[in-house]
Amino acid sequence: MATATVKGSFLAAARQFTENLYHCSRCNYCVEASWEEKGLRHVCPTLVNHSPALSYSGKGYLATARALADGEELSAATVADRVFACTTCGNCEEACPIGLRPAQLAKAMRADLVDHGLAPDRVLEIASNIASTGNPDGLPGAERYAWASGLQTDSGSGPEFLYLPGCAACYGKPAEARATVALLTAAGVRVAMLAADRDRCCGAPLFETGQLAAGRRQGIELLEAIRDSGLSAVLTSGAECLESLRHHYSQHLQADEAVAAMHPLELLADRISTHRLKLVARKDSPPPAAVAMLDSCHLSKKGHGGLAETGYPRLARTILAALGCRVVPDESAARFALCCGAAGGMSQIHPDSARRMALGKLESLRELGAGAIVSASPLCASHLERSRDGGTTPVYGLCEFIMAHFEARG
Amino acid sequence: MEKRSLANELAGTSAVVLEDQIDLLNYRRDASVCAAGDPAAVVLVSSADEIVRVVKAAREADQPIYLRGAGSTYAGGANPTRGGVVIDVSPMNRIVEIDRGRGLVVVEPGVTYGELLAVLGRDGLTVGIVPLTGASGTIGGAIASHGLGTGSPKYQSTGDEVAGLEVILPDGELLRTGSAALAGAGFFHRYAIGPDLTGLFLGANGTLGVITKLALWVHPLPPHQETLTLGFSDYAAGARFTARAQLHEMFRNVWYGAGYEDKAVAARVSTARPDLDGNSMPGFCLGLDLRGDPREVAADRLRLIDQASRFAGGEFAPFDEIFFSKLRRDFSFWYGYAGYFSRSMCALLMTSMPTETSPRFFALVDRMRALHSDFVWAGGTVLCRRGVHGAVIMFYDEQHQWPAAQAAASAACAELLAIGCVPYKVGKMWAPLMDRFGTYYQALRTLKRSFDPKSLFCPDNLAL
Repeated sequence: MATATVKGSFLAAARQFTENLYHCSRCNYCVEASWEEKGLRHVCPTLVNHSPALSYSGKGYLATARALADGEELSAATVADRVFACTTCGNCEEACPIGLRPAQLAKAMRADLVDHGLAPDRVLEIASNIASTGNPDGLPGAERYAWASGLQTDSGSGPEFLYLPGCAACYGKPAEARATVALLTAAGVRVAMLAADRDRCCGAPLFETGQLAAGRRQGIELLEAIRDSGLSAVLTSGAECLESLRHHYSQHLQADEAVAAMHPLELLADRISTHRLKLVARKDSPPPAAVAMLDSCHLSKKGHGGLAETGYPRLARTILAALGCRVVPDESAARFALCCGAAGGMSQIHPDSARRMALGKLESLRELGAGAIVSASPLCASHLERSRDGGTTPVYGLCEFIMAHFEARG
Repeated sequence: MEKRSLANELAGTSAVVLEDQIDLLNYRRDASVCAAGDPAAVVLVSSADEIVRVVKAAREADQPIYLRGAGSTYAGGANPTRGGVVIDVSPMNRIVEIDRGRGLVVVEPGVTYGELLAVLGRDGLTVGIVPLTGASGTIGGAIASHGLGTGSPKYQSTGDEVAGLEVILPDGELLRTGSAALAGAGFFHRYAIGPDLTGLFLGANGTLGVITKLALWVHPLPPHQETLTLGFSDYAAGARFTARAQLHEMFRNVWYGAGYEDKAVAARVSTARPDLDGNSMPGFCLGLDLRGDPREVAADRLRLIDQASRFAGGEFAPFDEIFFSKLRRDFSFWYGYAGYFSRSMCALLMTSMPTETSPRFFALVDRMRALHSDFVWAGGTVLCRRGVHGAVIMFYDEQHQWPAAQAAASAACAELLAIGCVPYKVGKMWAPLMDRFGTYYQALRTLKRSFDPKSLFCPDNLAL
């Protein structure tokens, strides 16, 4: 059977980046760069943990797309192999001194591959899992809200917010979902949740893997469920879900479909700073003196629907500092932090490489000498926890950490 | 080259051989305007032994070898114009030894300046010269292609900061230069035994050997940094001031100095400060990055301002505030150049000249602007301990203007030679003009024939 090839006509979604292809200055910042004062040390997690070939880097995506645009014919399988090995973390875009968008280009090329029926099977499995179970890993849909069993939410005066925990919290970090509801309730925030059979994947893994039509379907279903709830303000723990709600839905559905969504830590930071939520260290489970922050790429790097502009790395550290914890590294490290490999479809498409990324991240965080690793992203926290190699440093979701070591007094 | 021969030679090593078309795309060229090449294979090497094996396989197959670090230079040296094998040394990225006793650091060629500065900085040390692409640029690449940048006013050239090299010659033998030629002695003195063989490989673009280790002098990390921009009425006054300050070592604490055209100064200042009188803009600005003991730096600052006043110049703070001080603290310094990089590609012709030549250099840039108005031209000088580097910068639209840009850049090279600017980074950009260097070029060719009779190492670089 002849090997399938692609050429310039294959590029459709990627065409929006044509100028990028001809402006790359070949500085190599998206491949390997260090600048101590800026917290930049290594750039591309895929090059470090998956393959050292430049074709797997931001520079590689630019070169591949340019070769196609210039009329070259390339093996479809090799193009797909490269662009579906990107974590889409966006560190290459942070490092690019002239603002090129290689990670966005990779996502657009993914969409073009999907449209031409050239996506690898593992990518398609993500969509089929979501279609059949409502989550990207194909875990039983009926267990989605198992963590909420017996949970009381205060809706005496009617709920203010709809809480969508996200697939990663429901299945990978249920303690974070539970702790989030408990903390919000203690802070006087009235939350409601969807019926378990109406909550489902928001489509983030589909948007990230270029399966836009499937992502749109998920979005439409979830938006309908949100509308039916009667609530227009949404809180979600999932950093990727937040990008869907705030950005993907307006980009890929109708323009007016963006949802007023927040991450719970925005509310918690406010309630703590205004003393509406008082937290006292537990004597039976005192917090460690130092906490290592695992910053989610979605919440700290550009290229994720503008979420980074909210300043989540600062908010998370503000909360922990208010509780008396020393947080390492400081928030300036978030911008160039190397991805843990949780998102972008990496853990489904290349699980071994995703695990290596997590182990590398664990090692770098452990080197900071903290007593716990904390993340505001349940996806990152659960990925690190799953990938642990027997190390003793516990990995928490942010709310999980607070509830484990502090007592809430309203 | 036969796939099997490379694979056989490298069996059991950690070298990575890339032969898929998609993997070769990024190895066709560097950041220059020069024509791209088309390699048959790329080998990512982790050791000198692996390089020896690639050299052996290439020699047996009569295939050329090209060398590459980050591929971020502007002279085409990494472009495999005759195909063959590209050796990517970036995985050779170990800092082998920081020898405080001898005052040097030994590194492999794939170490980036960014990484080295981070490690040395923890010990309060730094290296003399750091190219403007230092965050990602490899030390091997900079040394092989005559890097320049921060440190040039104090230490002159990257080559002057090299204490010795380990090199694999085209016959596969390993050469250690300077004091390290004596087995067990190690690097500590470059000018030992006899003629300086280290110099043969500096700026040679890999034509005579593959650098596998470099010993660089280390220096104390300056505790304090500040910037000062001096303005002069014209290029001639600026050049006279610079030559005098160089002679009297007034730049002893200057780690970077850049000369800016009147147009660049006026454009930046008038945009940010429309309140300033456009007629009072300097005709030439010299931005200085001073580093060192705070008291010494403060004294030098006053001395430089005083000296500038003797040439009808003085401090021009607006340009410093708006542009120079910001850029000197930004790791993407070079690529922030007037925002042009985000809209176009850049051809960079890097030359050396005596300070007195710089007014003619700037006049030439104006001439190129008039002759080739399809492109955006700029000129700048980089201060050295003696003399200056002159950079002719030409921005072009690579999608539509690449061949025309190559022709315009070649024309500029010829014009630069005519006014006495000599090429600093040659690569392939200046190769067609190498016969202008007479016996120097003939001697170089003789050396090349002796070292590399089959001309397998980086053919076309320096027209060798």
